[in-house]
Formats: sequence, C-alpha cells, structure tokens
Amino acid sequence: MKRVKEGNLAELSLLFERYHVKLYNFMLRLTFDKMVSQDLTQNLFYRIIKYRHTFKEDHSFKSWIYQLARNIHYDFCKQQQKDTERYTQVGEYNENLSEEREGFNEEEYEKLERAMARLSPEQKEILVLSRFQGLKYEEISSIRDLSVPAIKVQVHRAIRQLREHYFKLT
Amino acid sequence: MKCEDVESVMIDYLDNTLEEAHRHEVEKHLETCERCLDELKDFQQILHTVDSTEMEQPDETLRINFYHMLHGEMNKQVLQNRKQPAMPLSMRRSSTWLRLAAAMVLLLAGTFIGLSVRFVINRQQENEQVASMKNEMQEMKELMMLSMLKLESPSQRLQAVNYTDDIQAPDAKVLNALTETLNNDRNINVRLAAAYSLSKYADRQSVRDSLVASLSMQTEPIIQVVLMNILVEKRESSTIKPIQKIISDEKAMKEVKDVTQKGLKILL
Repeated sequence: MKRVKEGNLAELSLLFERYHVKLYNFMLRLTFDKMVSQDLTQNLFYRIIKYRHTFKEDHSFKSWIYQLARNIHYDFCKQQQKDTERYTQVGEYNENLSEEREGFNEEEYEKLERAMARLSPEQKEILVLSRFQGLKYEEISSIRDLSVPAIKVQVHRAIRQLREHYFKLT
Repeated sequence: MKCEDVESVMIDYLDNTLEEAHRHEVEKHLETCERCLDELKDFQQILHTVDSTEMEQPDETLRINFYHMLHGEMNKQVLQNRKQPAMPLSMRRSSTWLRLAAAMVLLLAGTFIGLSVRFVINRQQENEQVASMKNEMQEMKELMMLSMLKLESPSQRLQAVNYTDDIQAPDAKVLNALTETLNNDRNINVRLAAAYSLSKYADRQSVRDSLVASLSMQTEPIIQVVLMNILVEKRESSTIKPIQKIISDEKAMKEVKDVTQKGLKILL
C-alpha cells in the first residue's frame, strides 16, 4: 500500500486479489444479499482507489480497509432506513440467499442465517469480523478503536445472543 | 466452581484459550452438571456451524469492474505526470530521430488512453499462511505480466511489458517472454517497450546475447537503433557482426547507417 501511495497503482490489483473475496463475504454476511454485497464491495474498492492518499503508513492496511468496509455498510444501512419501502425489509430474512446455496448442512446454514438476521447491526458486525472473517481480537480492536477486552466481551455477548435466536428457531 | 462461573467461560473453553488449571476445573464441573453440559453442546453446535461456513465467490463482474476503475485511474495519473523517457545519446543528435521519438512518446501515451476493460489474469490461490507478502506480489505480477502478453489488444500487451518495471529480479521466464515480444509482437510500440525493459537487465550476458540475436532479425529502423545503443553502451563486442550486416544492407535507411557507423567505431 505504501507503493500505491507513491503512485504505483498497479500494486492495487494485488491487494484486490488478496482481499476482495473476504470483503465480499463480509458484506454478504451482513446484508444477506449477493447483489448488494457485490455493489458494496465495488464501492469499497472505488474508495480505496480514490482515497489512497488518506491511508496512514504506520497503520495496518487490513484495519484500514475494514474501517472503510464498515463505513460503507453503515452508509448503506442509513440509506435503507431512509427508504421507507425498504425499511420493512431491514433485519428480515432474505430468501434468495439460501435458495441459491448448495452444499453440506444446508438446513443448519439456513437457520444460522435467520438467527444472524435477528441480531442487532453491531452484534452482527462484530460476529462477522471475529468469526466469519477470522480476525483476531487485536485486529478488531484496532478497527473499532476499542480495547481488546471490550471487543472480547462484545463478541461473546453476540455469540450468546446468536445462540438464543438460533435455538428459538428450532 | 459454580454453574455461572462455567457459563461465563464456556466460549473460551470451546476456543481452547483457557489455562490448563482453569480448564480442568471446568471439565470437572461438566462431569457432574448436566445442565451446563447441554449448554456447552449448544454452544459447540452453533460455533461449529459458524466456523464451518465457507466463503462464497463473488461474481466475475466485480473483478472486471475493479480493473476498469483501476485503469481509469492509471490513465489519469499518466496524463498528469507524463514524463519523457530518457533518450539514447545518438538519438538526441539527430533531429529526425528526435522527432520520431517524440511521436513515439505521444503514441505510447495515446495507447494508454485507449486501454480497455477486459483483463483476465490467472488467479492465484489465496494462501493466508504465506509469510512473505512481497514474494507473493512478485509472483502475482509475473503471472499477470505473462498472461497479459498473450492478450489481443496492443495496449494491454504494452501495459504488460510496463509491469516488468515493477518486478525487481525477473527470472528467465519473464526475460524470455520479453525477448519473445521484442522479436515477434505485431505492434511496434510493444516491441519498442520490450526493448527498453530488457535494456535494464543488459548487465546480464544472457540478455545481451538475446539482444544481439534480435538485432540481426529486426527490420524496423527505430528498434535497430535502440538495440544498437543499448549494446554499444555495454561494449558488447558480438554486436559487430549484425552491425556490419546493417551497414552493408542496401535497403537500410541512411540515418540508421550513420548511427551504426558511430557504434562500430566505438566497438572496434
């Protein structure tokens, strides 16, 4: 990223190859919508290109992009809330996703997604970062600008909440 | 240990982050308390489901659009700080060549603007465990460059050649691909760019050898001159043979012969 800032834009394609699947999945677990996730990930890389000068070299690139990703998702949620027609869909389960998914343990995944959809946006996000994206507490702490113990408490709380929703669905 | 104590560390227990002694205490409690054991199983099930969720692949348009954006931004950058490449000495002396070279620079810039979207690269399997990102980037770049050289559009091949500037220590595969391009590419701009890229590694004997071989094959005046300049500068004596061939060639341009004569004098 340092070299990108210095004007070597071609380097960005390497960062794209490294992160785009992860970031797409970050959006997907939050929005449950493939099309939207595709758009938001696109938007994210647009911002990375545009705002590459704002990247601080002493920071980790990973936390920087996750910060951008969070902002984009946040903007998206706000936009959705404004849109009253769409508002009714917020937090509700989107049928499309599970229909398209193939593979093992489909039922469990479906249930998991429904349970996820009932979490609060903050809980959903921290769960996605920590469990689905596999980030360390330290990494999330630098993204969220919160202490590691605070992050840990939040993650655990989110898991407990998820468990409650999950087993209520049975 | 009470139930609530066990409850509070259940996730840590499953994540295997508890200290040995603490862990044993939890296990001891679990042996006797069925309620906690049930709860543990619930947690285990949900964490397992979460952790085994696989990543999904985005649609290919994501990549296409990204490269489209990136190229757009690169073109902007090229237009903003377009620099004239340093010209070989003998070119500066001859005004005809100066003008020709200037036209080339414009042409190069022009092709940059014409860069199109489609751009396919062999995607490397992402391997998070690989410690050295630098290495990975290097390989990626080579891969990108090698596959882009096979593309239809000259501007994309030109871009590919320019990528080699970013490869710090190109291996034989990359150099061979460049030589191949220098000798066989249909587009003169791409061939010229390949010659300039190769010139950076003219300290290697193998590169000089392929440049000499290429010189005897080239018919385009500007490429002949560029190759000659590179080789003469490196005092490569095996250049004499193709040089003499050019001098005795009736069809060769006068300007080319002039440069050739000068080069020959230096080498002899």
